Amino acid sequence: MPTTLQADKLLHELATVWEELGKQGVEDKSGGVLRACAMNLLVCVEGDVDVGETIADLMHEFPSRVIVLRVKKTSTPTLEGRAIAQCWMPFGRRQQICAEQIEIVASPDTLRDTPSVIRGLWASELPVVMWFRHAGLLRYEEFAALLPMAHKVIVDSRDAEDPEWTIKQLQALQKAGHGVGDLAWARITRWRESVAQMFDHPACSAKAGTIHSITVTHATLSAPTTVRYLAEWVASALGHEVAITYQRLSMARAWEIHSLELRGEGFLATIVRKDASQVEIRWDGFTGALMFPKLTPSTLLLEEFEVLDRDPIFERVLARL
Amino acid sequence: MAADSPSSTNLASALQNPFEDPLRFERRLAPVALVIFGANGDLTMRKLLPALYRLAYERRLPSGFAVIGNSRTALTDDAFRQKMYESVKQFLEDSVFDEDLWKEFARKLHYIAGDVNDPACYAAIKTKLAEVETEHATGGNILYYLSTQPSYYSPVIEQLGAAGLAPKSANPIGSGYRRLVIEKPFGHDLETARTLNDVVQQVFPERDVYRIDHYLGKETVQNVFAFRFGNGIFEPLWDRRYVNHVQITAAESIGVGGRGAFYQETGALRDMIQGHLLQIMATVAMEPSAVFEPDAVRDERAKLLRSIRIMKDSEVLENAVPGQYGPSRIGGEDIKGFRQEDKVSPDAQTDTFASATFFVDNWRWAGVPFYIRSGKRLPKRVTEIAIQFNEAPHSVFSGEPLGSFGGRPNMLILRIQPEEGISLRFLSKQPGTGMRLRPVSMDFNYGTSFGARTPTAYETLLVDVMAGDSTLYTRQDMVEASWKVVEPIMNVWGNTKFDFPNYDAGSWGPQAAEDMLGIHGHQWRTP
Repeated sequence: MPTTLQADKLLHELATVWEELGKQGVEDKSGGVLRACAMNLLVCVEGDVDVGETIADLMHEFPSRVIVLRVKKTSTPTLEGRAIAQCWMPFGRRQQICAEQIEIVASPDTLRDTPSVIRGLWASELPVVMWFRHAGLLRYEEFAALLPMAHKVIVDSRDAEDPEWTIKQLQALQKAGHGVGDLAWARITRWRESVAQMFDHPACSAKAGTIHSITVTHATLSAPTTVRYLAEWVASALGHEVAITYQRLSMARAWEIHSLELRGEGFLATIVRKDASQVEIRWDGFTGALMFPKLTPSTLLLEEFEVLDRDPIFERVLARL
Repeated sequence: MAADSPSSTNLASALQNPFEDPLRFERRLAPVALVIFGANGDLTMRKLLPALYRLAYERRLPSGFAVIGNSRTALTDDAFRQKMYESVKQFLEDSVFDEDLWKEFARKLHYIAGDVNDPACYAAIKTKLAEVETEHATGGNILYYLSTQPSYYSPVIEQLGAAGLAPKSANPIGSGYRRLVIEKPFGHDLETARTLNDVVQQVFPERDVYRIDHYLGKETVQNVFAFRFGNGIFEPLWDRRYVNHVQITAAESIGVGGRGAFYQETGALRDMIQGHLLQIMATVAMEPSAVFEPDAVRDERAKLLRSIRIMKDSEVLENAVPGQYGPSRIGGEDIKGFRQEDKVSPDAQTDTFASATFFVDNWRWAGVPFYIRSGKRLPKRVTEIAIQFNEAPHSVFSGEPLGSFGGRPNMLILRIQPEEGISLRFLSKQPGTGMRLRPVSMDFNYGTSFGARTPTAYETLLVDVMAGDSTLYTRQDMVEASWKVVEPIMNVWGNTKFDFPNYDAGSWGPQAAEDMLGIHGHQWRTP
């Protein structure tokens, strides 16, 4: 197995990929390809987990130079890489759009050699985002060398093996001044937006100061980070002392977050999940429905990409967990 | 806006929402009831309802929202919903239709049949508004949308005032904002525009009047602001020293269809140049405003419109060329000439094509021609702004062929439709030995660069009016300024008998329009 890797060699390979694509475009008179790059995205992943589909989805909206760093336990030390292009033909167009991808496979014992390679691979002048598909990879201290370059570090605490540890890592990164994101937070955006929409109504917002209790019902045995984020966000937005209750629902068809209930003086507002795509909101005799879109890893990541600067509301809530 | 007005109170309460997250949520809109006059018409079915449905799909509508449609046709709420269901499904642009969402959206649609001249119609609307305020929590805000024939604008506005449904009514009902959206045409000439405005101002203060020009809602037109004022590299080139001339084209491939009778009285000059293209020209040529706020931006646009040189009668025929399409054969199909269209007089003098050369009398643009053209039955549907830059002061490549672009290779093209985007053309060395130059273009395309779907102009403008943002709406002084620009042309054309038809359907217009540019040594580009 190869154990040396050079950034220049990978960049040369990448240039060759583009030349080939360009030639192909001239031959088939399609006008060549459009090379698009708006960001650097480092995807850190363990083992053989497939992230291809998610990356392909992301590239349609955020064409980037993607570096997939795959940490793989192998019998002998491994460090190898290759360059490819992700291409697609937009509807009704003759010209393909391509984004570039470099895949590096490293075994834990060669991981220390990857930061120096990755540093040479960034497309200059563009933001750098690091997505830890497996939050457990944060345990490797080798990544510390790369963190200062990242505008944002993204994890998913809900799906992490150890959510508590992951949240602590995020808090530590935030304290150290890094931009951080959690897909668990992006998962509750529609819930939060529904609450905000309710309180757009003056009759509802007038009652905000009286709210004394928040109840979130959920499906799982212990409250996942999504549930805790939601409750803590409501509490922090209200800015006064409130009681928070997490209730597990035993019904057969409960949702990860099943309902949110806000109680105040002479006031009750609820948002209840009706099905995969809809919630019902109720307050003071008013009933309405709101649509929730289907969430995928790529839609969650795209939301995080839209917020590359510091996210004060998330950071405030993260600090409360 | 006055600090104690209903609009500002409402906005303030929306801003105090402790659950806002501007980084993650779209701009929040206060609850509102939308009353559409002319709800059974083409505009409502093709544009407004599909746009509202799409906004619901994007979760952009406030949770407290309802529509009350009005027209003379007798329909129940359910029949109206069914009709809108069919039209939304048919006319929804570049978007999926979700049946579950429709069920929830349809619940918010209501209908009142009635004659807009009959006070009883407004009594019924008032009752319905009270009902929807309870049922849909619309918060007391009302948005009136005039989607009727223009001749009904004045009666509707007067009746709203008389019924206590407008802000300047003697006994206005309830609290919350009352806004009025008016579709163009804003009058038929300067005098009728002023008359209509007098009626409007009796009942609605100017700050609550939104004159819609859907061209200004298009992404590329808005992007002109970002392009010019968000970047540091273009604005220094944006004046008479670097810009040779500007061409604005709005071409349609279709004819007048069933609108012959209407179009015969309107023409391309009124319909397109006064109605849309002068506003686009103003956006391209205006001075930067100090802040991106509605009145600051509109002040600059109005100032530019007032700086357009008004043609003397003796200058009109040299600087403004009308056209009318004649019969032709396109792609194996026989195409009628305008005079052969239904309900069109066989000797109609209507301009189905209009082109003009305008000059802006200010320091930035002195001497730079702005060419504008618009027509029906042209080779394709396209709207674009092309900014032709001057040649390099000295060419070191004088011995090299520069192709059809001569010495002026640099052109910036802002494409408004059908494919919104921006292209910059420049010369590059052709690979190989020797110094051979070839024009290449750098393209920015909305669809491919952002991937995300571009909202339609009506989606953008409906959100803006609900948010109280009038930046992309036209103000009365702008309407009057644009009428002043086109009125001398209308008058001279009206007193001249043209030898129509003067262009074949499917061509780029009459030869005289080419000659008009030829005077200045320019030629129309082929979009």
